[in-house]
Amino acid sequence: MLAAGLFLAGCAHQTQFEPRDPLEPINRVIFKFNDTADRFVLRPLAVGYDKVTPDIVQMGVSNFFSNLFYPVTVVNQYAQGKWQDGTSDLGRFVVNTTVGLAGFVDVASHWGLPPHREDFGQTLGAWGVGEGWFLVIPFLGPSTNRDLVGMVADAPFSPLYYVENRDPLIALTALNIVQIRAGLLGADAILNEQDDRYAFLRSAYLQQRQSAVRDGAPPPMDDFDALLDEDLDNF
Amino acid sequence: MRIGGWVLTACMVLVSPWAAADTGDSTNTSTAQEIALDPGLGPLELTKQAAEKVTQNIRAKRTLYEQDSTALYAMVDDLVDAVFDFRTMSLLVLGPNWKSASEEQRERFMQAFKNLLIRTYSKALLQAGDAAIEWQPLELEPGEKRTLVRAAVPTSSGPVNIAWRLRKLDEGWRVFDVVVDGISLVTNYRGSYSAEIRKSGLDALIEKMEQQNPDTDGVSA
Repeated sequence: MLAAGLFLAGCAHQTQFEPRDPLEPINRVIFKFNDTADRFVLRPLAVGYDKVTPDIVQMGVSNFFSNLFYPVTVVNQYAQGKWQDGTSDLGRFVVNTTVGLAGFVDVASHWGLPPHREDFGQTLGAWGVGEGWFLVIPFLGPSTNRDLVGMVADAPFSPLYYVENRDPLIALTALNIVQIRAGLLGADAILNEQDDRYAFLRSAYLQQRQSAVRDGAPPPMDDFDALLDEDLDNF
Repeated sequence: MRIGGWVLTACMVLVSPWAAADTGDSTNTSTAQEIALDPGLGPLELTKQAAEKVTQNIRAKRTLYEQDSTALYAMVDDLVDAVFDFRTMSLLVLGPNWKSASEEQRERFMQAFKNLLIRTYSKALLQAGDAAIEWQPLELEPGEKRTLVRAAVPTSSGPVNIAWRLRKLDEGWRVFDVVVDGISLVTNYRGSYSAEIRKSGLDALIEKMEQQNPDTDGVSA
């Protein structure tokens, strides 16, 4: 599957406005399924969590999970040749795991070690691999060939991968999913106003990932420029 | 942080006489000019001042805006008129379809798109109104007609990057796109609308948009 995914990702190239989405009919069905699961299960859980958990505890839990998966960021910084960021992130992981009490307190940010977020999907992008097709994965949501490959490759760098006892693994994963969803509750209002929520989410996901590959640099606007140059003639 | 904001707002409404007076004549706010800006401002100053005025305004009138969406929409409408250029936004959102559109279609689209954005983002603006913004220095070559104002909003999971794209028009600098965490507002709507137009045409899209927001004044939450 890895090889097939990489192959698909490798031969892909698309414009910003016409995403490559040959699986759209299937993706839309899965999107609808995920949406229903969200509406009846995940969202109510997240709303409940948000209600009963004080802000400061929510922040601690969010910090804890960010730190738990932080080795993925460190490894991918190095894989992209960003030695300085990689070393700063390694320091961040060590500081927050120890002084920051297993990651609950983000001490490192106050020590000049700011948070980053890197994964193997971004690394592949930095290496010049195209994103491939847009995908919607049951329960997990939007992805691409490239990000799916990245997710599989990143798994061994997460400490959760080595937890052999099933019950704590399930409990931790469930808590992580609920706390991530709780952080996204504010976006619901905007998404719900959209006429075609699938297309809106697809565009937002792809743009956000492209931005992550560029390490947050603003998107190029060649296409805008062309349209605006043309528009000047009309004045 | 959220709780702190609430307490601050409550104190301001109670203590500050002008804030209380403003809340008093809330029925007339829809006609009052809430956000007035000097048209000759540079790109960074325009964006900064608009953000500051909105923050002040929301701090002073949060309770009013939370109960009365008409007043909230009216304030955002003023903001949009002072800062945004909806003609350029619409042109970019429609892309090639703008060129083939009639003047009447363009006008209708601009109005419908503006109403839709106000309705969609006003509540989010109210939630985010208190956020601290760290502005980055502007890089603008002399004679340049387009630019990018960049800023970051610190959050618990790292800073969120925001960028405003501006264009210099006869009346001054105007914003035509907002990019949050790499997601461009214009690009997002362009993606959704181009599929819709290909499927059922521009008129059908405009009609659908107009039905979604028959009137920004009359829509409730």
